[in-house]
Amino acid sequence: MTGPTVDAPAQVPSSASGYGTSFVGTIFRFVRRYPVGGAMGVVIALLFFIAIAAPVISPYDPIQIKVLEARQGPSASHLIGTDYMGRDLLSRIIYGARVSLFVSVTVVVLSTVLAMALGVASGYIGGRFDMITQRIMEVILAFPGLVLALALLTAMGAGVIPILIALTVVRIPATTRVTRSVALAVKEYPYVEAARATGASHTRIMFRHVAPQTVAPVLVLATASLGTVIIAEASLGFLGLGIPPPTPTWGNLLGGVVTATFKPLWWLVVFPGIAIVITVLAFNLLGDNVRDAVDPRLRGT
Amino acid sequence: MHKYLARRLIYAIPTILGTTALVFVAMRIMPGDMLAAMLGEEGAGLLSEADRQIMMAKLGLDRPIYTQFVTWLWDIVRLDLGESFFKGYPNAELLANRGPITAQIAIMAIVFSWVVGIPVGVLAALKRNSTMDYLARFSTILFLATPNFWLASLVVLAYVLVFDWMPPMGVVMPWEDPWQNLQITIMPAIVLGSSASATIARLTRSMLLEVVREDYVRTARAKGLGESTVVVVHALRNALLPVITLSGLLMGSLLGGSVVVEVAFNVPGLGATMIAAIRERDFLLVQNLVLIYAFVFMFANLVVDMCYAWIDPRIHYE
Repeated sequence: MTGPTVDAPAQVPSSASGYGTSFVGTIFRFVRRYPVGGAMGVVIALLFFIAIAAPVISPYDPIQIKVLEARQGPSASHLIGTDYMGRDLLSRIIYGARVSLFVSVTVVVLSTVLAMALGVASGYIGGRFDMITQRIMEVILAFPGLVLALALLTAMGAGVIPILIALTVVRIPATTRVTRSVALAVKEYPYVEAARATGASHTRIMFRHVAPQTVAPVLVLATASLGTVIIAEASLGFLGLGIPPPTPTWGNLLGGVVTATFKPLWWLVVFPGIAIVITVLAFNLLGDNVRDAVDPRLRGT
Repeated sequence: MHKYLARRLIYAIPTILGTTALVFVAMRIMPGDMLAAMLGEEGAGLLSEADRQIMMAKLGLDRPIYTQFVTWLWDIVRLDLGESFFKGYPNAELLANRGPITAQIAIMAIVFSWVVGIPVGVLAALKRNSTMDYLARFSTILFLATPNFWLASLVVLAYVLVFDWMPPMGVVMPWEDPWQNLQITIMPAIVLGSSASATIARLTRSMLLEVVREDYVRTARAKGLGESTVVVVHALRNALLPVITLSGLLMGSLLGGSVVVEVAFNVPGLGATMIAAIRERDFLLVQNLVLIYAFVFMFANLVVDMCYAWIDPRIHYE
């Protein structure tokens, strides 16, 4: 499942600086070295295309109720069947991709940026600020992530913004720890001292000299957590606390379908789950390869 | 060791206070007043001013917010969990009824993840790059990408469509009727433990591959020990240390996952109770349940740290 060769030296630049010089070249080298990761990149690109082009490619309206077509199994007109209200399942899954991808990317970007700022500031400034930040992070980490998200959602109510906030809060501590530890190490380096000696302000040093060093580990963490966030969002949707119907999401499509009736409709259970598994699998495999490329020491673990 | 335990508990106090404060604040960040949130805008609108005052007083909402917080803390210290606002019976009784089945499923899931994860990881490492290894790695990756609520739904689907059978409903304690209890708990535990066992298999494999290269393992081989003795007695012991740490971290996703799995299997445990309470907007019950989950998680991590010190004699806690 990992790259074909293990012993050859890494051709992909192991520091973030390489990405700036030739982005296309880096991608090209990555795909050549990690065909699985490359293929997963294509799958993910395809998923994003499906999500963006949903209004064009979905065969039916995902929300409009057509009672006469309810509870149909897979057929030529409805490839994977219809639900209890006659809505085409395929169209609903296609529209569901929008929510899943939007939420996971937004949450990961938001939490990564906030955690980078917080972690770098915490590690660089140190002292009381660091101590207070770390205590707060410990408190957040004291909760099982999903339970804390549930508590926050109870208070904020269901909706896109509450979901984004709840999942972002849960994800911040882990990334903060990583960026903080990098900042702690980097601030002792001579080049930081040199920057200080030339008159750079602390703010400038944090942004220009310390923060870039955290990009590589943070990139690895971010790619790896895209799949986790998709599962978390779908779990909340399944529990009925995510984005409320009629908006279709992969989670709320599965909510209550097995307990709703005595004889559940199997296609309503099977297909939305397959969509989730394919997406999470693609993100995880890509994440593994990105980690191998960025940090060759961790290869194969 | 005792000293370390004492110190850990003292250090835990600010975190515990922090968790209570976070839960308390989180439950009160909603816009608008609490009665409207609990009863709905219309329901709250129907109340007369006198009824309103009575309910506010009953819920303690008429007092200032810091008094509410301190009262709640004091209630927790006295183990008084209040009563369910809508059901009217004591929350403590509810939790005593629902707690055991959640604990049972969680413990069975941990045991499952070890019993399956470690042997699979060991076999995959010993027969590196064999069909067995690839199969193990493939299923590991697959299980890590499968949400447990979907797996649970598939199992329930199979119950109904394939076996035409449903597990018995309700709470059956293992000492009352072990067979019925097992029918209720076994599949939720396996589903809950599946992704944990995948993570454990993955880590066991990579740790074992690393440890096997160490000098002391070569020495063990050189003195003529059999391969299985070398692996099980010498290598595995060290390879398992990170696996124990991981198990502590996995407790978080396991506890969160148990909420989802209980709902999916319709098992009336703490998680299902919490979701029901959230839907009914029974805030005090939600608040207490969230805190219980946090306490259990913190306690589990403490136990893991203790195990760690017990298994690895190199670790000294002053």
